[in-house]
Amino acid sequence: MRDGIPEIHRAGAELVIVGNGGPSFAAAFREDFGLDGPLLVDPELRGYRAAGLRRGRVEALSPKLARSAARALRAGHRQTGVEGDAWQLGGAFVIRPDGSLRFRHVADHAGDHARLDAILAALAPDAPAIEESTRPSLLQKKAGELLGRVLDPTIVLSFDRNGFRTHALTFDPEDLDVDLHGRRCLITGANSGIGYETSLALADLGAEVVMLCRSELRGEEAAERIRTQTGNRRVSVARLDVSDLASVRVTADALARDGVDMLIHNAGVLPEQRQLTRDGLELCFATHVVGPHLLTRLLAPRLAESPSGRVVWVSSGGMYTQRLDLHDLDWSERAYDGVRAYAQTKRMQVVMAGSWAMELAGGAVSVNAMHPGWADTPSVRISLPGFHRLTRAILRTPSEGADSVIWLAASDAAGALTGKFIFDRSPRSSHYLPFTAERPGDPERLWQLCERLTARPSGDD
Amino acid sequence: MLATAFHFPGVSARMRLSTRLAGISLSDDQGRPVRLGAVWADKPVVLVFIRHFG
Repeated sequence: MRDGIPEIHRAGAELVIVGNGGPSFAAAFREDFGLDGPLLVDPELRGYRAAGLRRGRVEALSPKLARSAARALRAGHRQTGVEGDAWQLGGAFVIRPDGSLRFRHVADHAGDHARLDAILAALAPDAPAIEESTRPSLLQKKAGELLGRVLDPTIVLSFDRNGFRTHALTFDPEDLDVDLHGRRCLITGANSGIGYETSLALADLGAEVVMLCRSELRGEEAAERIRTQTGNRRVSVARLDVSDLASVRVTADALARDGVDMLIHNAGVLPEQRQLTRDGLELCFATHVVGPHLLTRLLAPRLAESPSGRVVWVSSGGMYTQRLDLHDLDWSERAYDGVRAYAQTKRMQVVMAGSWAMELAGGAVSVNAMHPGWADTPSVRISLPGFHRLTRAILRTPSEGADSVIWLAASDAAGALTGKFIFDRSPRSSHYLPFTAERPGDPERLWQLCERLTARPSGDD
Repeated sequence: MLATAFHFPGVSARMRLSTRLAGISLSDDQGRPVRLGAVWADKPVVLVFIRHFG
């Protein structure tokens, strides 16, 4: 390839080499191969992975490569065999400024190199673009069947940890350089996954955190870990089953004795079987929509007193597949589908966040929904084991999934947003599929339904 | 239902190699960050991923 550089330049193109070792080996490589063009290092193989390059068995080092290894060694760089991932295979691509792909070579064994003449032919102005197949690999296909049911089909790629790391490049690190002393935060489903990570982060920033958990025992274990890790003693547990309206009333009354600055609706459930709560509500609907609505209603007066009240609804990308649908909410007229019930009520959360933003507009309370992307949390492991098995390598960490929750609750920047749907710290469309737009009047009907379902029974005062 | 996810027009656009690579930031051999999308911004690029240095 080095011999082809003048010809590549004559064709008006640049040669950019990416290697998977560290910078010191790049320097040795540059010298030995007499390169003066761009040379990039990718020890984490992010580019290799995104380019779909394979990993395979390594053959013996070529004499040339052995020389640069020896040189690196002489220069004082420790060399144990091969720098970088020894199993990584290479590839070559021609990409034009419009992003079109004109040449692709993916090595399938060591020593399988792209042909220079083919690359030069691809640099001709009239070379055809390679039609990029959107056909998924077998793995993607299997994952897609599962994923597609619960996840956003159009920004599917950005949901994974690479998406987070890409989006994170645009984050302002000062956003979370905040002191939350004197602020009180309530989080449902706080003992594991995203709820736990959020509790940990907010406690670390100095907030008083009340972890609302169904199990006081599991909650207390989690709270103690957070107290130990952060040194913040103002981390407590209150028992709450958000799917149970009586439990919501009891706990909210107790919580409302002190101020509330942040309320995070994080608790979630994905049942296999249809279950009705004591209130006669389908479990997803009760947990994700009706219970949170009541909790918000009961705490709204305290939130309104906060200098910067925040309500965050932790929704899911699965909601993108669903149109708000108020028909047969208790699933009595059709076979139960837990994934659908989950995604449908996650859509409702986005709609309800919008309605609550309007309800509280004019004050200092911001209300937003968000989705965490695909994170490796206990809920995903338990509720979607097949999905978890297939995608575990690309799942975000729980703390990456929690990032936007923390940002919405804590940052000054987020205080200016209300009624938005956030992913990776940015407002996103809550619709990517045309058939998911709400029918006129449905958001209002959902609101009225929640109001009706959570009204205190008469004579109960 | 949404195995169709992968046939949705928005997805195929996003699945272009250039799109997948564009946001990735690597370092040059001087340690300076280089966003891959920038390397083909002005002219065509022959992007070669080698097996390894060394």
